Amino acid sequence: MTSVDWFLLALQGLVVIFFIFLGVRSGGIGLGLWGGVGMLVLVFGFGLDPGEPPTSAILIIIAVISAAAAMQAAGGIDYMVQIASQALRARPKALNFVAPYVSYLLTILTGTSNTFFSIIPVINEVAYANKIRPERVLAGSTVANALGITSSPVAAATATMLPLVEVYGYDLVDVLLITIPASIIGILAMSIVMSRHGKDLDADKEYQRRVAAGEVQPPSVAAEITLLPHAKRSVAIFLTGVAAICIFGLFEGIRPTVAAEGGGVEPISVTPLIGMFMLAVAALILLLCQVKATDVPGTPIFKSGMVAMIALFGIAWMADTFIASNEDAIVQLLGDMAEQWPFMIAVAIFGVAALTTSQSAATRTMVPLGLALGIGAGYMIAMWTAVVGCLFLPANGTQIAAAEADTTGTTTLGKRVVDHSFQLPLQIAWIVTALVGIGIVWLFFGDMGAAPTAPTTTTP
Amino acid sequence: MRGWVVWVGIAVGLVVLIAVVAGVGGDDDTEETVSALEWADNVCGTVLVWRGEMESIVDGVRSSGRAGSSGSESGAQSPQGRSGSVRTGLEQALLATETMVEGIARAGVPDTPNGEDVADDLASWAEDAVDELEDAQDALEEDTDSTSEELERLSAAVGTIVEVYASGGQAVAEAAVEDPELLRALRESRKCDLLAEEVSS
Repeated sequence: MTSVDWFLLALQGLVVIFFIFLGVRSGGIGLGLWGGVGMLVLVFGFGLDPGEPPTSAILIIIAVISAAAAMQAAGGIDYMVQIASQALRARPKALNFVAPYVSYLLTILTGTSNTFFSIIPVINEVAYANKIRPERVLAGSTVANALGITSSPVAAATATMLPLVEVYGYDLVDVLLITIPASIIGILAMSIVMSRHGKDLDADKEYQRRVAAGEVQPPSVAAEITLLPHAKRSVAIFLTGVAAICIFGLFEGIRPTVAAEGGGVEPISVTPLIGMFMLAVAALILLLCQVKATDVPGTPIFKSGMVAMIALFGIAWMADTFIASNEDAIVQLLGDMAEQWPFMIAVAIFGVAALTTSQSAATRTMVPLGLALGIGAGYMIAMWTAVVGCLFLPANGTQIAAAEADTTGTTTLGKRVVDHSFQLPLQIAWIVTALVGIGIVWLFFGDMGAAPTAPTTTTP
Repeated sequence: MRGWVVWVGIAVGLVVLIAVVAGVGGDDDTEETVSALEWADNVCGTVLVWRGEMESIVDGVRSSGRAGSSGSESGAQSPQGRSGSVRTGLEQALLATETMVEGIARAGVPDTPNGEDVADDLASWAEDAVDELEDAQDALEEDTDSTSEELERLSAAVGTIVEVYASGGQAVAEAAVEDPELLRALRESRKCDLLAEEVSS
């Protein structure tokens, strides 16, 4: 690339950051609207081809929000809040630890972060009802959810990773034996810090302003919540839907098959299944819980979900337009850095994931490079967890949905693009996870680049 | 907890991580003499990873071609979609092959009578593969008004990717054919065994 190309790339990057900056300052759907303006500048000003709008994430938000809003209209959210409040009565702060692990588990079982959308409103409501600053739980859970990808046997990123390290004798079980314990400890460290992060709601000026302005109601006392007649039933239907998604996510063999690209058939992916199950859940709640369809769009969950959808549409579309045109240059830049200084490979993996917002791109490009640089395959598996860096910029669907769900205003997308609520838990989680992973490999795999399990054979 | 304390902790953690990575990785034997078995392990590992990447690239390009001939209308199946997937495949193949060049260079020189020549031959083969892929990329970038010429170029580009992929498995063994000591090391290396199995399958 010539210096002019690099200059243009930097300029386009600044345009993207500038419009994210304008978007997060205006908040709400402003994020999506400014993303649209950014698209105009990138396409008409710089001549870039428009990228792919985040269609799958938007469709999933629609389905999941329909189900969660129907459950809220049936009183199910109140019931869940009541149950959780009773369970957490002795130690409300336990939610700071429980929610991230539940989010992490959902991703492991389904191989996609998209399932997390379904529990964002629940986590927010339970945290708020227990007077816990929602940012602590929502931001931590969002990061834990993304970290689940490298611990999931059914994730696409794992499928990309496996052939690269199988050569060195690491099978799926070995990979998970490294990533799962490391992630569990990383999430624990993150949760400890997050449980003490930020002011309590009583002392938070923005929250107090919103309460004073009537923008948000003070949390209901769990004991005083009057349940609607079919609240429990709606929760049962909703949780059955989530459980079904997890079961179908984990066991490929029971999924319906569809035509494969290269001929033959393959199991349908989890993403459309989430849409089907969540819409069906919403329909069953309407049918069996005496909820009027017209009541659903009036719920707070529905409104925040629709705002999140518009915000995601504009901002993720703009980010994809920039990335699709510049991914090779970004990979080359960070790849050159890693070649020059191999000890920076973990930072390079994080950087590629951050600047491309793609875990699979970071896996596909940086892991082979690390192996070629002579870094042991086990250590590369440990550092691979750095692909969680895709949350570095606030352009991810789960981040936007979590920020929009939090009506207290504590979970934010930041004012200067990188100072969002997810940055602190992200940095703690990826560094601790990578370090613990390296420790596990050093202790249990004795990895110096050689295959740990493959026997040495002599062919005559 | 005070915010700056946490961020100082994170900065320290990052420095520790970089130091630990520096301690465990980055084995660079460029131009150094290493044992024949170590060289065989490093080179075959690098070529195996590269073959895995190339296999998925070739599959991706071929499946877009098959989809293109089936007559349906998704983006990847239109002429533009087909052209896009071949270009992407070429870019990915180039990146994977450049990574392999780096890996072969870092493997060093085997400690055998013809070790230096063998290492040079293998490095030349890998660099030639990069050149071929770059040439194919340049050819695709040239302007053309003719659809048939565009299709020919696409077809040639796909051919280049497949040829480079096919040549990769044999290259190590062919480079070492004049060096019995190195051939023995290739047979003793588990990774070279795996590579041989891959090539023959």
